[in-house]
Amino acid sequence: MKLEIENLSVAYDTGAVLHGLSLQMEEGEFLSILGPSGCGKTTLMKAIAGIVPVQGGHIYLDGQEITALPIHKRGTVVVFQDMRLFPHKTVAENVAFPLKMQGVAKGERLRRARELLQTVQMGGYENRRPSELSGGQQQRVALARALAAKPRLLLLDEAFSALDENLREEMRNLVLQLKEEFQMTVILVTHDREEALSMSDRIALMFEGRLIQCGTPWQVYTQPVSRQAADYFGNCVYLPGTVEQGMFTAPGIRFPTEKAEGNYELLLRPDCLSILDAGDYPVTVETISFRGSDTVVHLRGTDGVLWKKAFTGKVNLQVGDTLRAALTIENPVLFEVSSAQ
Amino acid sequence: MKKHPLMKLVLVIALGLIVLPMAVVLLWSVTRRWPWPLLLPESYTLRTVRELLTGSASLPKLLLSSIGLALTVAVLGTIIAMMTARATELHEFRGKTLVRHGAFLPLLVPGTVFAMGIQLTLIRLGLSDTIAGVILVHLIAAVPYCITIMTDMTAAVGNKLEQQAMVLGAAPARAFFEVTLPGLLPGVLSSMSMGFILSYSQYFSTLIIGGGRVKTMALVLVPYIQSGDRALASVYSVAFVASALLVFFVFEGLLHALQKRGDRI
Amino acid sequence: MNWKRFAALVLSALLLLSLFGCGKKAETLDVSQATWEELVAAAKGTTVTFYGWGGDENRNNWLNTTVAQYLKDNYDITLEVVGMNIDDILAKLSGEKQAGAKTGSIDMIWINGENFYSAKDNGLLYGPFTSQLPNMEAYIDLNDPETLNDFCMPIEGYEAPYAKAQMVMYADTAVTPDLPASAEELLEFCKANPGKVTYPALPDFTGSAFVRNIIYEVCGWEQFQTMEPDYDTVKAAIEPALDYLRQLNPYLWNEGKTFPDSGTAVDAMFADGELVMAMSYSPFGVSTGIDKGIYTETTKTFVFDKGNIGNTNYMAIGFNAPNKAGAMVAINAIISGEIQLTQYAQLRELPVVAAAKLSQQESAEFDAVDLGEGVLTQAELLSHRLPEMPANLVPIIEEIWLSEVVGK
Repeated sequence: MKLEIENLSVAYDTGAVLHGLSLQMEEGEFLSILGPSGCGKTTLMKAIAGIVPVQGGHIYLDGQEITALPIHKRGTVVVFQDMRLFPHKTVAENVAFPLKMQGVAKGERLRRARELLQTVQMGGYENRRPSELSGGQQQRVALARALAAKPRLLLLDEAFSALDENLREEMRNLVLQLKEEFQMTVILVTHDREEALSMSDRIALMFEGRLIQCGTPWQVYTQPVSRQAADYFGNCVYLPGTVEQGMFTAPGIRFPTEKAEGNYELLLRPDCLSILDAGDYPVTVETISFRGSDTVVHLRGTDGVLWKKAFTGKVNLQVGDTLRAALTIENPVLFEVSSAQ
Repeated sequence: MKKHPLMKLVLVIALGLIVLPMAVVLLWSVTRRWPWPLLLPESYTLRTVRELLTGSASLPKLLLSSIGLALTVAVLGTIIAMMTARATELHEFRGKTLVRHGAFLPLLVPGTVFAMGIQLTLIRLGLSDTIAGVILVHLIAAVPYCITIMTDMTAAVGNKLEQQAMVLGAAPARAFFEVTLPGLLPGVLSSMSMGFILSYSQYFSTLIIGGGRVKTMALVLVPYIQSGDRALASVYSVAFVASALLVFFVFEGLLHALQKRGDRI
Repeated sequence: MNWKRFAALVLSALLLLSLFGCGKKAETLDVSQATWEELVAAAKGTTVTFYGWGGDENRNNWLNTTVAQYLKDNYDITLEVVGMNIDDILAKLSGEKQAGAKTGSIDMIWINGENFYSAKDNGLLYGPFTSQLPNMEAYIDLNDPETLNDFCMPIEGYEAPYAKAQMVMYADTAVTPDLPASAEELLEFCKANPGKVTYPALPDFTGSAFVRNIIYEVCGWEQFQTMEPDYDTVKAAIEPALDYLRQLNPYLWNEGKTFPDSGTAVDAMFADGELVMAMSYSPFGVSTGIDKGIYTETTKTFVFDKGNIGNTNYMAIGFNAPNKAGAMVAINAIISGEIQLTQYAQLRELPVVAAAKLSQQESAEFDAVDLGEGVLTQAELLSHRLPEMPANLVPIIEEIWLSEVVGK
């Protein structure tokens, strides 16, 4: 086990932020801590790095308890969202900084800094000042500097959210490439679902200081443990229905399930809806909005459910058209509707 | 950048308010007689300059002790202010605002009253008539201003870079000196300038606590102003201002040198 | 964080140590019982501090060179001159008294008048000591009222004379050839030079002395020597003088609505030609001013025919003086004919030595002193010298002046 967090509690003056959180991570894993802002994900990251004091619980890194270890002795290196390059040092000095702290001789650490800068495609910028670099370039330098510290665990704090769309993609690829090259264990703290889904081996989903679900992106997306978890990824449609005698029944849908009898909602996402002319689920076109790369069409089912479906290519639909669509359901997710509601 | 004409006017007025009086003092320092309503002195003399350079108050000794004292106050005051600012800006604790505002309390009491009050304490502590006592009293006068400067500076610099440095393996003290101090440097220099000038211009407290044993420029200058020997008072004032300016230039030069050098590996 | 606690502990311990770590060397000699030889022996190799007003560059130089050298050569005493206003000196002493500091830092003090009265009254001075000084007998007229009393207050051996001062007026004879010799003539003088005469606002030292001089001029001086310090008594006695001063007002600078705040301001205005007359308690100040070029060479000193107030300033010893023996030896030296002569010659201050007690040679040396231009001779001054009022009348007069004269 690379990282093991047991029952971790953190509180600020304003109240508790993490409530007895536990989490495990394997060597070489890429884990995203995903959640809305204020969910405590940054606090969790800071607790791992030792930046905030913890009120309870334990943190183990490589089997060694680090809960009370000072920041600089943990080997948990953070790349912050705001890069935090040292403005008074040159790019090379920034990258060489961790080596300087380790007591590496000047010539050697500058040589290593140059190498690392090559790795992040920043060769030739050694003598610039951070203020002379663009955001993306600063990000690369910050990454190189983190690599120079030979992190036991690399923590990326919303690392890409300050960059623009194109650059973000580029940086994500760079990080993944570096992770492989240096065989690092990485935690990415993010609120960006797409980022978490696309980059991670596993996602830890957090709400209100608690870990809600932890699993592969596929699991987290397709098998959410609650409506809250499902809603976080968006585009959800819920069909109300009931389970009786091992069968879930909703208008036009019927399948076997192991759930106990009662009222349920079936989680559906737009990809469940196929626009065929032969389906048994009639929908009406309400609006069509062309967005360039795709076209979003709002479709209203006979049961009153609104579907937002994106089409690529030319869309031959008119507002008011009625289509006979079909619902395909694999791995259905049912959420019990409590009788109180 | 093109300056607004109004800004220029303000600048000219401000300069006039500083430069004109200084010019008059400069002129007075070598004036023999300047009867009203002449625009310029009637006759000039070097009596004052001679007195300044060879008089009973040895100028080099006086400058050395004044500047030495003021520099000590500047350095100590800035260190105290830096520590206070870090405590109040970067840490949460009860009574934080009390500390922040409490530092200003000595300024609310008139200097004369304050000096006489603290004299009692310092006599009991055995610090009256000692340099240490004078440094202490000057610090009380200087620290509130130093704290204001350092608090703003510390708030602006924050501890983000320090955190980053620690995360990268720097021990706390190392992190402070490597990345925070260079950022605080302009503040440190202005705080030191402030501490310097506050100590340099202290008169009453130096007199009472130093018992006249601790000799400073102000201590020699003020009686001449009071005695009405305008030429002599002027020549001492010129020496006073010039020596303070010289120290400021050194500070400024130091800042530039340090910033230029940056923090080499 | 154990080391933090440790550091705090060490710091506190250091602070505590500093509380107790200020033990002072005890003085073994009982100064009040000591013979002169014992005092001189005890003073050998010591440092004496002399606290007093530091605004007179000539006096500072004289003390630091002539006097300091004399003390070093004859008694192996190092003189340390500290410039400090008498108010501050007394504030410092009274602070030390309150704090119970047995050993202070002030040995000798330059003092007189009200300040002496209040310092002595509050136990801030050491004494009596003057009877132990051989030069008191050798050079000073022990029966001179100014040796016995300071502003009519008994000295009782708590201070020794330092120098004599006398109120004088001065004007530029190139501008005003005729100088007033009485209050009446002064009024005419002011009428002839409207707006060009004034005096410092009381309680300035010079202004206060000038007003007392006018009171003497108008009301006579004898009655005040024994007057009770009572507001109504004093006011009734000086009423004619108040009348006179109010009469003067319309012809004064700014029509007497306001007065310059200090003697130095009046002197500066005279030097600048804004006023035609000024006054001072330094009887030979004009010659020094002419030498420095501050006054024109035609500036002349004058006094009223009926006489001008004179006083003596003195040297006292702080109640907790660390070096009382040294202070006594130094004071004894300063009242010697030799040092008084240098004071007369270099500072142009009236000496305190009695002419009758000087040797022929010493007398000749005093007579040979060149006092410079524009001043009155010592004999002229002494023949026009009136004694000061009791110190406790001074604040009352200042109070009355503020309510009855300014702007009236």
